[in-house]
Amino acid sequence: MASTTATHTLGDLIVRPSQPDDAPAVAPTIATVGGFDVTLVVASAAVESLLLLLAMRGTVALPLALVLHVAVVATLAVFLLRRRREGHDLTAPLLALLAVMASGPIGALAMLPALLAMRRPTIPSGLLAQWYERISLSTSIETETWLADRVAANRTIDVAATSPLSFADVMQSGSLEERQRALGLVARSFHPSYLPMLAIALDSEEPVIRVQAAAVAARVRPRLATDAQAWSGEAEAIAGGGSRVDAYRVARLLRDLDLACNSGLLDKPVEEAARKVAARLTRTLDVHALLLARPRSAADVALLDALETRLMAHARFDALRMLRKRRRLADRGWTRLRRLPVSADAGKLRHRRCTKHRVRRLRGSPAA
Amino acid sequence: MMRELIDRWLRQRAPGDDSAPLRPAAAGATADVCLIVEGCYPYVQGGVAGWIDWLMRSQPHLTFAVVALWPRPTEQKPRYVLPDNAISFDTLYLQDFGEPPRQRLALPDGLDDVARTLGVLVKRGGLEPWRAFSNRLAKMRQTAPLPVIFNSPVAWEIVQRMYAADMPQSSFLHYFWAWRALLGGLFAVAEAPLPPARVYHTISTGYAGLLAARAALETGRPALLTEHGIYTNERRIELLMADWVADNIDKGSSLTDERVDLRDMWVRAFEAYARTCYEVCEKVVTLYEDNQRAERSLGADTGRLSVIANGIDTARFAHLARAADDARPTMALIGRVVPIKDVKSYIAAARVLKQRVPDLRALVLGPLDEDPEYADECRALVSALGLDGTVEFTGAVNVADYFPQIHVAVLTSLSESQPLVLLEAGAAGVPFVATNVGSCREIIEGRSEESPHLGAGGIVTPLVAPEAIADAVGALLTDHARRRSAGEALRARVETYYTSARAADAYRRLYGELAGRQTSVARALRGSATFAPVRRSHFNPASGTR
Repeated sequence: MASTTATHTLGDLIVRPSQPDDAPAVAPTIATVGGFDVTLVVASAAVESLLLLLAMRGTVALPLALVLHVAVVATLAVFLLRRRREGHDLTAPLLALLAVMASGPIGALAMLPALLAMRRPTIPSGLLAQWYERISLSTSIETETWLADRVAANRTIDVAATSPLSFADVMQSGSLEERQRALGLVARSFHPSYLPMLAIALDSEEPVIRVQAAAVAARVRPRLATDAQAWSGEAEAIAGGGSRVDAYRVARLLRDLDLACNSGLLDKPVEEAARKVAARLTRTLDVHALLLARPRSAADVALLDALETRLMAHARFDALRMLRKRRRLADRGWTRLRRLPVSADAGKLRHRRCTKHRVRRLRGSPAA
Repeated sequence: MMRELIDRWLRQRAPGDDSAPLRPAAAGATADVCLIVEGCYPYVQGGVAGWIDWLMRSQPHLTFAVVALWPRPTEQKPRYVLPDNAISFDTLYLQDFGEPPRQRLALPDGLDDVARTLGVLVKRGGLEPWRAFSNRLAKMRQTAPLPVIFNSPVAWEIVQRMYAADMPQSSFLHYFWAWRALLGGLFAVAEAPLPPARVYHTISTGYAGLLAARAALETGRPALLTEHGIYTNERRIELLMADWVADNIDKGSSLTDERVDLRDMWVRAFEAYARTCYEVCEKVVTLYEDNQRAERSLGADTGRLSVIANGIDTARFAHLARAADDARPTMALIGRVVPIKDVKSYIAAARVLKQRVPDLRALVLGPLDEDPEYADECRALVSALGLDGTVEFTGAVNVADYFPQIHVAVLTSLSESQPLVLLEAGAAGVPFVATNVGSCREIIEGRSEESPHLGAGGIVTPLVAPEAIADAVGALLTDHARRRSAGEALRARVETYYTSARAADAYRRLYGELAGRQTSVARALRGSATFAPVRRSHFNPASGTR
């Protein structure tokens, strides 16, 4: 009988400004004047001038001169029709036709400066339309305005603010408002690292927090399922071998898969598949092939620590030792190890510390 | 409006509908109770709307007026026929407020004061700011009607002042639209006609609560609030998770940044509205104790809080047989197959439990058509886990037909208020395993003051915890004596505390008590030089008639 207080959502109450229109403004033009139009008018002017000259000298009889003038006009008309069929702008050829038909060579010559004037840039009608829209208090936002808003927003970062609180701590002992804010942030910008904190919230003594955590869980669930499948695919590809991968990427992938599997938010088949592929990757991980740079933050260190723990849990002690050795080297700036065969028939490998430069030299790279 | 609505409803009634004909409202008649409802009755089926229908029908000796708050005019058809004792019905549209000015309005004096008063009302709330706001509106109405003012340069000046005072660092465009949405509802509530009544009963805080507060202030009659869920909390959750609210201040991951952004403005406004409502209402009723924590945190006076649980007609289920001990072990989730019911956790629990109870039967009794995609996912999950012979989806059924086959009923919901199915199973003597949501723990384990304690009617588990659910169901399925005693305890609790007769009686007493009472608001304001009924000169608060 009773479920929720109001069945319409808050969104129903909101009058929102329309979203930025993604469609680019159409290029504004009054007339298109091409080189062909100019050539045609110049040619018409030349022919018409010649005709006039010949007619005045009496070389060509007037009736014949008129017939030739009509021929010039007909030629212009043919070009006009052709332009029309091709869907081109007809302003220039039509004006030229009318001018030549009415005034012969004078019309053709007068058309030349007109054509040049038409080729000059005009105020884009699209911009005008946008301007009218703005001054008429339209609510649509152009992409540029939206971008400017974002830039302005980023300028309001409070540089004096203290560092963020640990969400897990907040969920254990924060005020009700802080816990609700934290859950809101988790919902809006979800990251797998938030999952343990979400589990705490789902089990909270405070009903308000449980309800909100449940709403967050319902919201992130589909996304987590998609992500987990993508991570499984990626882990599968790495486990298949064949390419050198970044150690932090592998560690992050395994951590995220673990978090997702332990969240209780995944469907069982997805969870089991993810667990299998994570285990397989751990079993087959080639620590030698990892690209390992010096850690840049405490989070990087924590990632590699977690990877070590995982290797230990799978009894991969040789890989664990190698990872530790490589971490020590990476801390000193050595970037990778290269396995060098001691002899052709021996399967043993000899590890040598290499800088990037030395690796290239060993490979016989031209850069060396 | 009433006449038009009644005509429409009469036209829509199906042939053969033998319910009593609707009674037109007597002009100007005073209702015993004015119900103020937001976003549900009569356009939504079930839930709170169903409860409102039940409430009116359970009090045939009283007359009711209904004011339904709805975002904007809609084509939605009413799902309920007004009962005989409902004498008027009005719809108030929150987002349909404002008329274009026909003439240029001169800017009145004291706009700074109006902006400040409004700012206090939407930030802090409370009786005094609401009264001050009402008085300011009364003065402004002398220049033009309120809907005209809301779309005039006067409102423009007010919004600019509030923007400069509240969040000048924010985008004005976003602030403007948020302001329009928030205050449009507020102005609509301030402008709506009030049906005369002896008691004003709002079913939530929010705008409905504001209207009840206004009614109490203007008429001097008592206001009553019944909260099913906590409206403010629902809005807060919605707002904190909403992607559509523009964040103008980048707070990063800080939880302590005090700067006010639009999201905070929205949340604060709904909290302020709730405070106003709590301060005015003589009684604040909830369905279960847990809700009172949230109400107290929002400023509700502990002395005014009480619990009236919803009830059911237990006679419908009392005669049903119990499932035999040697029958196939059966558990059932009764509810719609939708994500909020977390049916997937139930299926996962079935898989865990099947290892301990191989011939387990897990029923899902509820419609599958509300979210077909989710229902398909659930079916696929059943197949993927090899539970095809174990989990059965029945679709919508009469649960009474199934109770005699069910050993343990299960609810894995992520959110509930007071689930009816828990009461129905209890009335049928079926023990329950439920997640710790809404009033589930209270119904299963009993209220703190229950005397004598009737014992546990089942087991409460954490949310999204299939293993815990499987453990709980397994414990009841494999221990027949425990299961029977839990079923009996739940049946006794439902028959004692959760009958519809008991709930109806509680409201009958409450209405009787309030109808003869002068509201504390009226007492507090008596002799106040500043208070005056803000408008409605045609409405006489003393006689309660127009």
